[in-house]
Amino acid sequence: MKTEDFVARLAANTAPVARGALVRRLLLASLGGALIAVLCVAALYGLRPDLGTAVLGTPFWMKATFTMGVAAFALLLLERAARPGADLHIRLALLILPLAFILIAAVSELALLPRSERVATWLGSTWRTCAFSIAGLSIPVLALALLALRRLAPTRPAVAGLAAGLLSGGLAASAYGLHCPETSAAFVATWYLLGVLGSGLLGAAAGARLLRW
Amino acid sequence: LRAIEERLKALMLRSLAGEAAATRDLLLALMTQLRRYFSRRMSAGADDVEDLVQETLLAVHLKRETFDPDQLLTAWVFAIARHKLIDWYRRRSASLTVPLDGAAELFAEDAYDGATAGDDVGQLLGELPANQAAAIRCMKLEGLSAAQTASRTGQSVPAVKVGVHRGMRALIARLRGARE
Repeated sequence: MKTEDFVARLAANTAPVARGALVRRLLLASLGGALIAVLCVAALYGLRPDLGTAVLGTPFWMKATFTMGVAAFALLLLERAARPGADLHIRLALLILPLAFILIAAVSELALLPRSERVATWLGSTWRTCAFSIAGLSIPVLALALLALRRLAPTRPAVAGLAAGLLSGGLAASAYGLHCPETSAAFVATWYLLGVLGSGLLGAAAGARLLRW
Repeated sequence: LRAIEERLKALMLRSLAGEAAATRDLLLALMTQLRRYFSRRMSAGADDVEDLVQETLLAVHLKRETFDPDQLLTAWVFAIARHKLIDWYRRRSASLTVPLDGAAELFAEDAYDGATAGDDVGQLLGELPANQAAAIRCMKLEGLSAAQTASRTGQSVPAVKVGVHRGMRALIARLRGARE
């Protein structure tokens, strides 16, 4: 077909695009993902029985600040990675903020503890399963995020996948916080972090393969 | 350049508002720019260039949602074009891959030809100045780099390059003369 005719045919299909359509699409996927993650946690793990009193304490919000921070900054990166020609450097660097938050919290927590209690605090009672649970919970969320990304235009598919993976990991970890009884920042800085990083790597690998356009 | 950017961005904003005529003007303007962009970067026929122009225009239209009005429109368009170009090269190199069954036959050496060709080349190189012949022997027959050749023959790198160039020209001239 001649390109001029091709253009005429494309132009005939000019539906209006709302300002902020891309942001709305990503927010919708995130909300849907968060909902899926909460339902999975409730169905597969059960909410912690003392949730009502836990939400009044600082450990719960320390965890939530980290996990929701990861999700929020990953979403900021994703918003750029979905646009051709957008600069990613600043948004990539911002991911350091939630990481720094949890590492500082963990170090100051351990520094105040007597040496004999440090290892027990760090391992808690669920360290064997925590990271795997978070990475596993992130998979359905990641699928939703990648589906939204396929409608967009990531020119660096692995980075976009990484952002989607970290977003999914952050949302899954936030939901998992409704079940997980651990209260230590050192615990979160290790096992939650590993779970979130696992989701990120999963997302990067999936993105590199599935986000061709 | 800035005038073009402003004109195209204005068209894009009207296209995003749903104005079909603006979409057409925008895509036609981009068509000319994309033709130039691709034909400069592809060692391919006009058909391939036109395919890629159409593919890019389609992506520009379908992915309009990803354009941020705070961004430069031309930067956005050429990031898409670059993405499509890389994709084209990747597909092409994938389709050029051939299974290796029976490749040994293809590469099997014909000893007789190799030997006589070696004799002929040796004879021809003998007629060149020694430094040029040595440089050609290292770079063209043994496949060394210019830097390796330079250290092997004790010449400087520019001297090696010049020597190979002059030597090859002399050889070609001599072969032409021999044929006539």
